[in-house]
Amino acid sequence: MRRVLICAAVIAATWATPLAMRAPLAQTPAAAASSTVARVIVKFKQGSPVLRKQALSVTAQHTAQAAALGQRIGIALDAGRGLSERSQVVIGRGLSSKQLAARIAAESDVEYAVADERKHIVAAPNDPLYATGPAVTATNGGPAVGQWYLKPPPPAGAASSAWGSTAPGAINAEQAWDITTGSASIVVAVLDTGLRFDHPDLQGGNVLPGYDMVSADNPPANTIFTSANDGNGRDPDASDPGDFVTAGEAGTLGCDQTNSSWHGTQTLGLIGAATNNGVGIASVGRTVRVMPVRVLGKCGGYDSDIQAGILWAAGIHVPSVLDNTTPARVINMSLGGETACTQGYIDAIGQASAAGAVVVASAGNTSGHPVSSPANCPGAIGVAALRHVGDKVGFSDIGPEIAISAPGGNCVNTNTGTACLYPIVTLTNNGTTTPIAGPPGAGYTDAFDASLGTSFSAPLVAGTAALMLSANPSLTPAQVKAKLQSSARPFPTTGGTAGTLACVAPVAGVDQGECYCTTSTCGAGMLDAHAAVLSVSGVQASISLTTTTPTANQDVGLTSNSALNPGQSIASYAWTILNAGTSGATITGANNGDAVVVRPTAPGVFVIQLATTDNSGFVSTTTMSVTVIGPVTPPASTAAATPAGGGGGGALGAGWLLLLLAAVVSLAWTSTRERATRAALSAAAARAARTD
Amino acid sequence: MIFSTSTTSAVASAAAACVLASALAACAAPRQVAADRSATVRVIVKLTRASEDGPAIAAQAAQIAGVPVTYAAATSSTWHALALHCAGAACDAAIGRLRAADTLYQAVEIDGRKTPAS
Repeated sequence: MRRVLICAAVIAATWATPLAMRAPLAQTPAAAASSTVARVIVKFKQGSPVLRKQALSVTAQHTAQAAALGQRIGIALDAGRGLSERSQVVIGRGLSSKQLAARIAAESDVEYAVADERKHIVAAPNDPLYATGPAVTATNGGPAVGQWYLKPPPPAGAASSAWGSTAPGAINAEQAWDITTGSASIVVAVLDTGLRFDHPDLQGGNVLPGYDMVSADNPPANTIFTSANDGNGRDPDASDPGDFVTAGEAGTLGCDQTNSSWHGTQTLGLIGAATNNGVGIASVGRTVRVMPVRVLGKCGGYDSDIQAGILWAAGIHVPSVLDNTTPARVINMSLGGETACTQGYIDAIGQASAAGAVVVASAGNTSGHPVSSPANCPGAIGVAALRHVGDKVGFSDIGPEIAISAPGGNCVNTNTGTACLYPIVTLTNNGTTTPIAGPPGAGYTDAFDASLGTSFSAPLVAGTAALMLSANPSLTPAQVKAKLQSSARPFPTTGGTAGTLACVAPVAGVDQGECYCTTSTCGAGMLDAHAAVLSVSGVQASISLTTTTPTANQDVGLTSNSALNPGQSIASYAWTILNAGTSGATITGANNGDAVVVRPTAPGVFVIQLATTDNSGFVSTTTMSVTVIGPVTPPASTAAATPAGGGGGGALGAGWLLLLLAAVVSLAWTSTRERATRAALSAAAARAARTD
Repeated sequence: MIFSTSTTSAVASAAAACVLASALAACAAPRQVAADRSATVRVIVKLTRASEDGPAIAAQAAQIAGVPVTYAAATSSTWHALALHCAGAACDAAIGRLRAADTLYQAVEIDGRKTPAS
């Protein structure tokens, strides 16, 4: 009997524990939500009626503003920390911070409302040259600041001694990567000298074959390929054979003797080198795909080949050339010539833009002369070069055609043989004429073999454009340009070399060195990759499950927890059961609110989708898989429920229901035994009574 | 070197000349480049009516320009690169004649060269 009682106690305890654990089952979605605390930073527009009603003390003012706002939107709001006269934190309950932000942002007198979220440290990529270059010797190494140009800039006004390995001109790609590290569906074409495909930092799987658009020197016979230097004309091999020019060739080709530049590998590496792979450098575009289109050979390349390259890159048919099956959304051209924009470029860039490609081009490096072509063409995003402090670097060309500026590398140390302090670090090949194959040939530019030029400014913009398109693929080229410009940081007016003046309109043939940029000479401002990507990152759909343990035949609550940026609000929601599985889940009631109730009829897994559309028309979708367990029944009705199956025991309930069944059988068996024992004892007592 | 000109009346003899010229070009490539560049101006023409028939485009251009013209490369079905085999004032005049033929050519531009911007 004692064992039976212990057994029953264990069973009771076993029974009671899941019940206690399941206590929230009784909680409705609304009840669960009511415990949620929402924190939102709100800034009222100048002249908001809420502001006009306020008391004199700042604290009282913020308290009253929160109350007034809450009254208007129907949610009780407490005042949190005040940030300025017009901005403060407000605290509500019963919904998420993002939901509250969306509600407040919809008010016409609110400039913005954003969730007051906790921030965490953004992880820098582990590519060793990102942090710092190799130790500087007399002839190589550095730069000490690594890839300074990709890092977050120092706080405004910070002393230069506190900058560390960044600088005011840095583009803040690091924080942009917190939003997106790029999409493989976005292709960036790099029209240049071709590519050294075997570089170890290009083995991330994101490099496309591309095309060689450099034609023969004597078409249509196609027997002379001095410029192309690869023994053939247009073909699908975009490898860079080197663009060195010998003394003999210099005379015949009409340019200077020079070593190979590996220019295409350098510019493409800035956009698409494998990143966070523990090797070499980080690239702006990280996981976007990059596609070399070879248009330059020895002594550069013909306009006709470049224009064909623009069209081909954008997916437009070029006669006698295999069509491009991976059209680019961004085209980078770190090339140019001191000419006016011609109709051929206007047509090619116009067609590429119409096909959806953003065209980026370098300003040119003739020390402040007018912008070179094709950067001066309508539709192109012309890019000028900045020094580390944000003023114009001496070599960069400028003019009203420039859309935006970005770092182009500068040395500060101008003495011969000294390390260049702020170059752009990128990939190269160690061959001086022909390439050196494999890892022995793979190299990186540094403080002595420094990459300097508007050639390196343009890829930073092109890579940023690719990140923007990764975040929002529906953007048009014109929208990308507009957002790059509107998100740019203002040019500094101090910090340059002593005696630096403001830039003035360029004059052909007249040099203009370092100067403080203006919006009429260097574009809208300094590239800010984070701000640019943020500005096009629409609502990011997210779902929260408000029911702790979804159970068959009980309502399951789900709510939108979608993230918004300043100035955004959610225009609509659409909930859909994509797959009910065995759960039989259906949406009960409206499916277009910020929350939804689902009713499953059996255990199983259902998949629900939320599509949110923000006020700019950006649609974001997400899905959630929800596991539904079997219903829970109280102990008193267990015996009755168990034989019927109770609608099917869930995985969690089945074990202890079987245990309970065993216990019931055990109790019944025990009772039978007890009755038998008692009967036997009674009979014995009767016998004894009779015999005593 | 193959020329498409307005005076190709004897097709057979021209074909023979082509074969011979091609063979010579292959044997003397470096000097040929120098010779080509000193006596060649590349232009890009925009056709008013799209075409991808390179030889026909070159032949027509040669007829209008009055100098030998070689088809170089296509940029699109409307834009084509051509090499005018001429020098100095003769080339200027040839280009002027092409530009004047605005019922055939919407634009005639020099096929210049661009270089890396660093």
